[in-house]
Amino acid sequence: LPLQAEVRTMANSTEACLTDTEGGAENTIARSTTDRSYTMLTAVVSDVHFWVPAVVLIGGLFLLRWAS
Amino acid sequence: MSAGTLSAAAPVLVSAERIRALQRLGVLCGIAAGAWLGAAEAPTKLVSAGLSPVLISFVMVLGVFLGRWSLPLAARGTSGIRADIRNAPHLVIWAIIAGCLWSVANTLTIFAIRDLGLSIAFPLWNTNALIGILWGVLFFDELKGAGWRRWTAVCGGAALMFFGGLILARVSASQISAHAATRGIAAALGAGVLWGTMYIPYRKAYLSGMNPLSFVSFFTIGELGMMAILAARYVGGPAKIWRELAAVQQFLFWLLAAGFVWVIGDIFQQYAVKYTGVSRGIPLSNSNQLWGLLWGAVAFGEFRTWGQHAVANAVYGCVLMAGGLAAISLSAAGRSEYEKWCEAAGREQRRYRIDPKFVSLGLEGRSADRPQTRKWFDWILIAIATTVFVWTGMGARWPSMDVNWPTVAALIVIGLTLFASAAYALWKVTRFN
Repeated sequence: LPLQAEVRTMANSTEACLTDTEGGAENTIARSTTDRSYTMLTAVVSDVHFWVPAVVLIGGLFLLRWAS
Repeated sequence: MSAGTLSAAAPVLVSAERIRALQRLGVLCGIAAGAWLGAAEAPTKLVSAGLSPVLISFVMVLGVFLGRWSLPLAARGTSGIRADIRNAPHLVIWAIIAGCLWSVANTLTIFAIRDLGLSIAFPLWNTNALIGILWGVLFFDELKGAGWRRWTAVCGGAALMFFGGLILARVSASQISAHAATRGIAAALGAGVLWGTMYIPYRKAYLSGMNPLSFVSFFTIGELGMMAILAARYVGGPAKIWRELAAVQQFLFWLLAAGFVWVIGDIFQQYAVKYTGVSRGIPLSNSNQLWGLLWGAVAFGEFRTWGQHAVANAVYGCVLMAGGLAAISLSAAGRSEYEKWCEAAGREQRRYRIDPKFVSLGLEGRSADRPQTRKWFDWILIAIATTVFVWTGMGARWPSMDVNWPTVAALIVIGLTLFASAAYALWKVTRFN
């Protein structure tokens, strides 16, 4: 129970930090590095734009192997 | 503006005059990019044949790496780069992916040149403009709300440049190998797809408000890392690379210089993409083929061995490319198109939770931060890059080849004039933002 409460508090504070953009720059500073990198990785990997260059890069490496 | 989001309304408060100024700036940067990317071919021509193509590419990328860190440092300092990355750290991943795409594409072009010759391979990989337009329209709503006139100008201009490039390719028929291998065509077209796709990260960065000078600093890490892996694979291990580098010490300077000249062109290309979008920025900077031909044909005297028909073809090709360049240059994005860009920027801002102020100021070519000062660390890095160029320059040997000096001087003057105009305009309008 104390652990759940702690996680809930952390989640609430994170949400508050991310949604409160009244002071944009301060908002960035308020986010912890760990939270930011987690959010960032999820955002990148779930972005369809990411998979297009990733697939093209892998295809390019195969093509290079064949063309050389 | 709702909390935490960037609505289209905020940036559109930018005056029409400001939008026009940014568009003009982007076009000027695109033209300067073409001239400098084309000029990058000149130093490589000074290097005699017999060097491993992958090694040539690797040393050029080393020059690119030095240029990509020293020029942004001289302009903004590491503190400016750090401030940008703090605002949009996810762009480091995108920059590294873009750098990897560049290196693989560049290596593919080497094999395409080996199989097809430069003259056929060049226009094939310049299809990257068409791929770029496709991604720009599909993913970033470019050219939406542009009206049929701008659509025709941009797509027609890109097609004109492509056909002009094909005609230029036919010019130096003596260079074309008898059998155009499927392998070479696939490699050249593959390079076009990779380079065209590389503009997805570019566009994402600039819609997020990123400064091009900061983006290229991380782009080059992916570029050098991937190129080092490819060089180790195709040349041999690090020890073999080192031995080969030592053996061609007298040519290192020219290859590093080619990389440095290329960086100048590429930085202008980044600003062109930022302020005119992918669909206009890439075709404009693809005019490098025209400049490359001028350097090769006129400055290095390749014209002398050509027949009348070939010269006529070269003139037609140049006129077509110049026509395409003019059509795209004159089709600046209007307010409705700019609003679509802002909506795309809003999507990036919400997805990556970037400070809306950073995004909107970046789109307007402004910065929230005070002008950055250079630290001692910046000067040390600039000094290291300069030392490498001076050291390799001292050991450089002038290759024995005929050069038309008045033409070289004229091309250098044109290049420097475009550099000065574009750099001054960038400083005046955006302070390099």
